[in-house]
Amino acid sequence: MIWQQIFNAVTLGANYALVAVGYTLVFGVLRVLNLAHGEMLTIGAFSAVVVSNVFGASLPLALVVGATSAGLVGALIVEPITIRPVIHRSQMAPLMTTIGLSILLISLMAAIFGPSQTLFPPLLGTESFKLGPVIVTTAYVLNLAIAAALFLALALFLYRTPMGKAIRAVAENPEVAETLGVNTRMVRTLTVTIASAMGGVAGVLIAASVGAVTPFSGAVYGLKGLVVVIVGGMASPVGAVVAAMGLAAVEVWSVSYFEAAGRHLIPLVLICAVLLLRPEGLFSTLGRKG
Amino acid sequence: MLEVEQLEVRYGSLAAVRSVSLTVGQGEIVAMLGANGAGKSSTLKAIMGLVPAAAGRVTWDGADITRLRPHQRVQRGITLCPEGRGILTSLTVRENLELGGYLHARSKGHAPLLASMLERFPRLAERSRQLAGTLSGGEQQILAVARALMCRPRLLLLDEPSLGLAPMTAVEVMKVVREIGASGVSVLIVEQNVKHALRLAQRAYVMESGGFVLSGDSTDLLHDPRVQDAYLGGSVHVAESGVAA
Repeated sequence: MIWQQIFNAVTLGANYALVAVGYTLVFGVLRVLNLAHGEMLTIGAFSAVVVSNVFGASLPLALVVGATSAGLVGALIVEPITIRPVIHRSQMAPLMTTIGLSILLISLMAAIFGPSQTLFPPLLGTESFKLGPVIVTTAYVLNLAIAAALFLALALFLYRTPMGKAIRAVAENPEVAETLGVNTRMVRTLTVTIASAMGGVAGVLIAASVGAVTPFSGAVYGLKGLVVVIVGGMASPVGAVVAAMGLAAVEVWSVSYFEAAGRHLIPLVLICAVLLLRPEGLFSTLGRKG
Repeated sequence: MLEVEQLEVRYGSLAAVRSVSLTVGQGEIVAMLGANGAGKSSTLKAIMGLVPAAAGRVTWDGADITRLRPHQRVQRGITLCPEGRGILTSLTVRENLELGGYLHARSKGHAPLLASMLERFPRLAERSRQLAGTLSGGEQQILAVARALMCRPRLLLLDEPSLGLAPMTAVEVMKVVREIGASGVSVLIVEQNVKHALRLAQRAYVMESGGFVLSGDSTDLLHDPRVQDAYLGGSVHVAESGVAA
């Protein structure tokens, strides 16, 4: 029982972490909370539904299309239209514009796909097998594997490539990065694009696990991701992963010991506790200079 | 060659730099002197493109670069070592250097240049895997200069490189700057240590309240009593004496 719960929590946590890392990336580099990030999940999921209907259900295709569509929205709309023009105005402005975009995207998707559930193809398979004391489904395994692979790829990108190092430099000091030849505007767009594409993948994985998607799904999981980054520290990817696992563990535990409704209540209690005791987040080491 | 004509920098309604004109020739070391808040850093930032020029023109190699963004100026061979050194503390020493060569990361010369930089500054080599924030002030300044050289500049803008350094370390930094000039790179340096600056530079400009009040050869300025006044803060005298740049 305990092993099963741990396994479930890790899998759920991997999904939350995937959502949360989109917020931390953007916040770390642009110092902006992108409140339209949840909708990147929904866009990814609906795009996957559309291609599955046209070309048949295929997990790799769904992931690629989910990442591409959400990434494009990030690259062409989120950063250049809702963030770039207002980023230097005030802290509040990007919050307002990204909320506005979020509402617009939700309405748009509701107009196209209808406000109720759209069935999502079972891309992750339906088999299950026993691994020691744990019942494992292919869906869980694929979920975990894809999330882990993406985190690894992101870490390698950020720490091993010139562009990744440039992104980290902009996160610490955009002015210095610029004097060394880094095109900070391009780095900002790229960061939002990567974050959005990861959100698109998260959207596909979550919709495939749940079996359905609605125009409002992204908002629900976006909120979970937000809880995770606030608990973990806004600009700390490691904090995000740990907090995601923590949140998932709390949820899994509260579902099995209380009623299922506790699942949505407990995280909010958790966030209040963290905000009261350690407002900067559990893992935050950041305080940007200048 | 760098030519700045009638440059003006404004922060809101405040004019930080007023009709400043200067030139820096190839391989020349030129110093800007003056009290805190005189507009020296703002002038450097405007040449780098970090603050917009409200008026005037910046020309480099005969091309007008006044409206270019900073990274585009880096592509054309200009870079800035900012005041306070601007070390990226969350990156390792080596990563800081690599980032300096960011634009050349895919070129053949990148790895040899990095190697030569580590050879030239052995203390950076010893600490190359450490986070740059763990270096001492002097080491950080050397790192900042080495990192700027990784950009392969033809014009290096240096803002207060000896600030907060022990006298011995400051001398060491000045020696490196001299070598950079000797290698054919133009240097425009802002330095609060007037003696250091004038011994290093061939020419200098003295700045006050956003404009130049004196300029000339370093040797002449070194013996000019008004320079002593200017850097000791008794600058009213200079302004009233009406010596134009």
